Amino acid sequence: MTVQRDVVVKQLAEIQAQADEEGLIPAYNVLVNMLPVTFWNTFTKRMMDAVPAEKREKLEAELVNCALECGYNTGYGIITSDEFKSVVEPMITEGAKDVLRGAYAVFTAWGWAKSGIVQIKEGERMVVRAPDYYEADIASGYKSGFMIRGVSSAFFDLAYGKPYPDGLKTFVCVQTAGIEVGDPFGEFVVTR
Amino acid sequence: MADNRTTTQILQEMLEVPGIKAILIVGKDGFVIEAAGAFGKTDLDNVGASVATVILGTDKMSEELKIQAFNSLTFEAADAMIICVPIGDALLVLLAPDNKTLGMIRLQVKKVVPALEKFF
Amino acid sequence: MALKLEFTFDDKTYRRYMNGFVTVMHCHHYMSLLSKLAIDFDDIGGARILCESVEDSIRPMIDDYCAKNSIASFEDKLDVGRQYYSAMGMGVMKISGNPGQGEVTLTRSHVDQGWMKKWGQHTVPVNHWTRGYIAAMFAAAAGKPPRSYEIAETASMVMGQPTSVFTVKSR
Repeated sequence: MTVQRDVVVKQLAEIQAQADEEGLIPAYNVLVNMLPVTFWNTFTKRMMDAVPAEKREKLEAELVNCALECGYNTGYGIITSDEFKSVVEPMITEGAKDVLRGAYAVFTAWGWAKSGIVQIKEGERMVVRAPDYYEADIASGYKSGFMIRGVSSAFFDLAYGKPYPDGLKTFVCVQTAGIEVGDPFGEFVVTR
Repeated sequence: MADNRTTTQILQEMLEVPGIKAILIVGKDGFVIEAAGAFGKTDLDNVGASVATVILGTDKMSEELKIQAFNSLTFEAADAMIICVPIGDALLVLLAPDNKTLGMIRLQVKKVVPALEKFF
Repeated sequence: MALKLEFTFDDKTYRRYMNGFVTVMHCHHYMSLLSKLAIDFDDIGGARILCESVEDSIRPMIDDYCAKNSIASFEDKLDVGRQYYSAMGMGVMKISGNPGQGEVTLTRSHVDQGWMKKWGQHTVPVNHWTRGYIAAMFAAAAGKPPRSYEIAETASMVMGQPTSVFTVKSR
């Protein structure tokens, strides 16, 4: 047996986070916000447009880092959550590989990116494809899946890095294809 | 000589084999990694989920019968034939309208599996 | 009037919608790092870009809701903005003012509480996100174009004050 993605996605997609009476959404050991994707995309695009060529690489790295820490901390909160334990864990038979399959099913169900795993070489390399992700809406002409890059390396850090919270930045992720540059899907490769 | 073809290129070449109507590559979890050919309005996510369920069943059957995991699975219907072949951690799923060119298809599959396996 | 919220998702892409607008969940780590990134890149106008990106992405949601629900008065439109702010998990606002000027107090703040949870207190205000939000809210309520308001954060939770306070001035 392995994680049945369809089952996980359909069950978790039904969960809708809602703010409490203090206008906050505490969940998975973090405070959650629920903002229009146009905000995230507009900010990214305008920053990338404004940055001079010599600082572009630094900006890209910082944009990825925002999602890296988010993915690492929230990802840990998710894979230790009651939802994950009750929906995904019973299907886990292949250890970290299945945890990752489950994590991408959650990533899909909660609207970050319709994405899944193409290949895992345990502790070495992971390839992820995404046929839909909100960063693809950025009419950039360059690969702009910064959020997926950050979250993907964070997930691999959680799976194969030192135990949380000491494994952050063990792996890095590059984007090798993007809908925003005319490819049929986004592709992300995580390596050490 | 190094094979630098992408999965997309390999699938497109396979579509030229007489009888192959459509091809899917599906992760063990049912994630549709890539598709090529004529699927019409078929919901590929549902097909991927169904493939994963079938594989789950065959794995269980292999376990019960104490036999090794399958290395090829063929479904035959009056109007279609489906062949599933494991490639690494994924599955290559081929759709054909009938079994008239089954031999050619199997031969082609045998050729491309090593090229595809390195991706999955 | 209580804000009506309709949450839906597209069962093909799994994108999630709040009242017809694609939304996505992120955490305080992401927001804190993004706010810091904007501050660190202030040589290219990072904080201004952050504010304006919020203003331009929030405004359509408030305008759309008010149009669909026949909400016309300045005060009622501000109230829609106030409630959306909480629905998005950004905290609690108290608003006073008119189309010429106003004041907004945050008694709860995702940006500030998130920042403190991550890094503790800071020496200067960091809530540029909410400055942009308030600009969108007042401009939508007054029917004015974007960049019509100047928003300044005059008290800040991350600086140890019990609430964050923003002054609003028509440009």
